[in-house]
Amino acid sequence: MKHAVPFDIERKLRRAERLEWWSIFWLLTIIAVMYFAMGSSQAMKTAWIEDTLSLLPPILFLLSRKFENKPATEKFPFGFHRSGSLGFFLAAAALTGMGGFLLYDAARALIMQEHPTIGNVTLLRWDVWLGWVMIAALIYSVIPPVILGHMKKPLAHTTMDKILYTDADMNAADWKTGLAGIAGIIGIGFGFWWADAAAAGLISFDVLRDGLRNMRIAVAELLDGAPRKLDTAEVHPIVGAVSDELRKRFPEHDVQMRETGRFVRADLVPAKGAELDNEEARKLVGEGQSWRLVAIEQQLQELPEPPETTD
Amino acid sequence: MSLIPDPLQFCCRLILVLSVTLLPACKVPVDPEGTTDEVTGAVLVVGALGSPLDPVDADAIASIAASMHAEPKITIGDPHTLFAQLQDGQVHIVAGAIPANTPFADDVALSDPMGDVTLPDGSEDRVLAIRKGENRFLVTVNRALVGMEQ
Repeated sequence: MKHAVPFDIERKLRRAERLEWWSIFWLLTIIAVMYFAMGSSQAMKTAWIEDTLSLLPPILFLLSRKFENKPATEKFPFGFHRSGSLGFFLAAAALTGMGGFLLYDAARALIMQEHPTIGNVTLLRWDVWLGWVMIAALIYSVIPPVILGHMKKPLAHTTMDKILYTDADMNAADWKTGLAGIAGIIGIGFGFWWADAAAAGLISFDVLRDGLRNMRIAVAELLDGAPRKLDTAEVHPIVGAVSDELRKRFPEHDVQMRETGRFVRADLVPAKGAELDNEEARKLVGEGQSWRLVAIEQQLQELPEPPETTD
Repeated sequence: MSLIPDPLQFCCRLILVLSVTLLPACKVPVDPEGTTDEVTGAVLVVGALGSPLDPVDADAIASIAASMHAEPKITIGDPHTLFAQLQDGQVHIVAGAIPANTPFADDVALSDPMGDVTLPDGSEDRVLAIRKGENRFLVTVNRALVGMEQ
């Protein structure tokens, strides 16, 4: 089932795809740089894992773009609009799980009073404390995502793409991770062993919070909840607008709305007896499975004109 | 109002602040437990895992002590006792053919390699063990080892 999107939206989606390819490229360079500078710092390890996790949304966005427009098949008669929803849920679950784990790890390091050890390295015949290298790596790790994040955010709003929004939001807020990491390393430099684990805790708390917020939105969509706004779990204003208009055109009907990926669907339900009568269901599917068939829906190509208003 | 300049401006300011405040502070990193200050011009307590220490370890210890103007004081003991004393700060450094893959690696900090140790299943980098997190002391030890090679 392919739904044509306006040219402008299509153009923005293509631009978003290009930006996501660029994101993957820059992230891979960041992951490599951070890996070599990581040492035994907890905050660096946490920031590195966060950077690695940041690969998930761009990959899932590109994958869902590939699947979203595939025509419906016999096995998937409604098409693949929800591939994006599935990707979003997986990304949110990964963020939540990793955020929880990293927070535990940081708390454990604090409780066990683990003193991070950072030695020196020879770089281009220069003997430098590895902490300085880590700080340079952290500064580098912040710049591309912050720029890309701010470029992706408006595209996510126009195309109503949740994965893209999450990605842009995480990227744009990446400087906080970098800053916390730098603070941790500087803390170690001045002999405050706890600064590293405290910074790691702050970063992981941010990851966990992002994950939980996205889980709320993802679960709402997977449970056929009303369409949500991109950045919060609040119901999108499109629900009120469409429901009001449809109720005018179809008196004595309720309107149920849900979203499948970036698309929104509205079902008209008779206000009374919306569920299929068991007798009727039995006529269609026989005795054994009749309890499973609860509704028959019809998709409308044309809508009646709204009735004349009297006021 | 564009949001882009804020984080970038912030990073630039941060780098500036770091350059101004930290670069002149050549004492960075600092030891949380003050091992370097304790040893400099005083006594370097060495936990030896064998007696006498073999020449590579003995030379390394002599080089470290010299670079810190300290007098080495050797304490001989078994690994468990010495590593426990190292973690408590009673011993400053443990030497004695310690391989880089020592089972105590999680509990202590290891110096840069200084040659090999022959093990039953091959050879491994030879290292010295110091108290975890004493970063200034670790840097001092590593620099003394480089000086020894030269």
